[in-house]
Amino acid sequence: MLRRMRAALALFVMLFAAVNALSGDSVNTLVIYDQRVTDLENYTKFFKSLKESSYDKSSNQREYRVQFAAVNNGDAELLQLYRNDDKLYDNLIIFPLKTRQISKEISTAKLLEFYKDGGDILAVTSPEGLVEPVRLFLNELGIYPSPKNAVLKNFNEDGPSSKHQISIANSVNKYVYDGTEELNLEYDGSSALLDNGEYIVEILRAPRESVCKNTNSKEEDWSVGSQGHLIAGFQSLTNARTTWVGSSSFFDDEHYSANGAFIEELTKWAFSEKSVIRSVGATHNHASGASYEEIPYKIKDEVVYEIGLSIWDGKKWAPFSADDVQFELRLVDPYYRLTLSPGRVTEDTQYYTTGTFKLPDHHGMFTFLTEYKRSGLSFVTESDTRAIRHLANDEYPRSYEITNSWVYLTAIGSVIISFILFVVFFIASSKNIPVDSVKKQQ
Amino acid sequence: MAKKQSTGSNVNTSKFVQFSESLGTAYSSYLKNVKSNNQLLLIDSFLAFLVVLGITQFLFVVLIRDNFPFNAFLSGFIMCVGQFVLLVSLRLQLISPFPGISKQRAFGEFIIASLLLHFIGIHFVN
Repeated sequence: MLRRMRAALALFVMLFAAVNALSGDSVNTLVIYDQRVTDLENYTKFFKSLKESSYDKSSNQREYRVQFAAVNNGDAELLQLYRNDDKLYDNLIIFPLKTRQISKEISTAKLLEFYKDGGDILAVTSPEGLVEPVRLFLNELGIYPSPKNAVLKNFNEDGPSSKHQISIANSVNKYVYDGTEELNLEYDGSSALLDNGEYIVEILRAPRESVCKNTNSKEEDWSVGSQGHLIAGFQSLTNARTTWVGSSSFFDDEHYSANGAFIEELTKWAFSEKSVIRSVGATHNHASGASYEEIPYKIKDEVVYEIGLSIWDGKKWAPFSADDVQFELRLVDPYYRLTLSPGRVTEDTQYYTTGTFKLPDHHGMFTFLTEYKRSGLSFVTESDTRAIRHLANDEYPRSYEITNSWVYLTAIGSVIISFILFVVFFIASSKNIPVDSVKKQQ
Repeated sequence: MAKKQSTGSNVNTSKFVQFSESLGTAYSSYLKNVKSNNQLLLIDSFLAFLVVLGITQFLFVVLIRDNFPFNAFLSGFIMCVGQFVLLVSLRLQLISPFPGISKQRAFGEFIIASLLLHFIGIHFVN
């Protein structure tokens, strides 16, 4: 009962979160920028696309609200992410900042808290604008942007020119950009080194002939060749996403004709508008159709497991198709790891099924688990722990049902029959002897 | 026999002959014993039958290389062994009765013990 209530509560919370994230009335975005570095006039196309492409006016009533806040400009009351512990924004965009701090309210810890609460963050830095709290925040995630004034250059160019034409072949995550269109991106900025953590999403690698260094100092090169990354993401276990881009000019109107298509996909990914999948729930029952509640599982029962997955296509939930969804039946170790095959499809859900399989010959508390974690896609975890009981003592087959044992049964039978015959003969023969002996005595 | 012994130059051969001679003596004395007592003959043939039965079951397990209904095998095999032991103890008492226990009482005890053995065996085979 308690478990069911808890499951219902979890479902409710999940639904609430999904509704909150995707089909709420409005999506609030805070843009923090520094007037000394960034002139918003140069980014009209980017913000326009952010407002327009993120939702479809005809089918979705969602409103995309963008709030701008400049540091060092008396916008201090705007520069906060929480009011009375309520999260004010869904998304946060930080442009390069030259200041020492963002504001009193927004520290590294506050950024982390915002991120943990499910806020998506797009952090744009540039060689001249990398503010300390943002750098520390990114370092926490395992993204290490190059220090101030280090610029991505071509290794055999001595001049200050640092513009790069980057082929879309350097884009490494198909869930962020699927690579259908051939693009030549124009990039001018810094690079970052990445941790090898599991939740890092590599998005755009630095070209092989590039090097990131500070020309004015004798520091070591920050990154060499494709070791560096120009755009990187991080997706937490709560499916919140952080995206880092090492160039602000990447977004401006001048380069928008080259970068626009990529930027639109990138911002959709960054703000959880694409590559978002969800599970509509996993079910399992006997192959006969009886549920666990009706007939608890026992060892070697035939069981079917099914999970439904949907993907958000920007307007509605659609069936999600993949061929690498796996199911595990675990008791400490996985006893089964089955690749699920696509089953029935509904309007918005693709169901995956194991087909019938036999529970192992081992009783205990087993977990029916699907963990679908792919870099770039939101994570799906469905787990359900159930008891698998052993056979009751009247559920084993009788010995005469097993042909092998007929040999032993025959042996037992013949021992008993020959015992009876023996007793009969023994008594028959012993009757003579006493008579004889009596006669002899007489 | 005597001729063979005299011609045998080998010590081994003479030992073998001695052994077979003693075996022959034992066998003939056994035959004499049994002939005088039909009950002993009956017991011994039953004993031989039990040995054959037990060996057959064991060979079956070895040949099919699977002891799957192990309880059935155990019960079949132990039934043979148990019946063998009970019969041997009955035979001992028939030849030389224990003090204070008559042959009739020994036979009665044998029957009760055997019935108990069969009961347990049948239940164990399930």
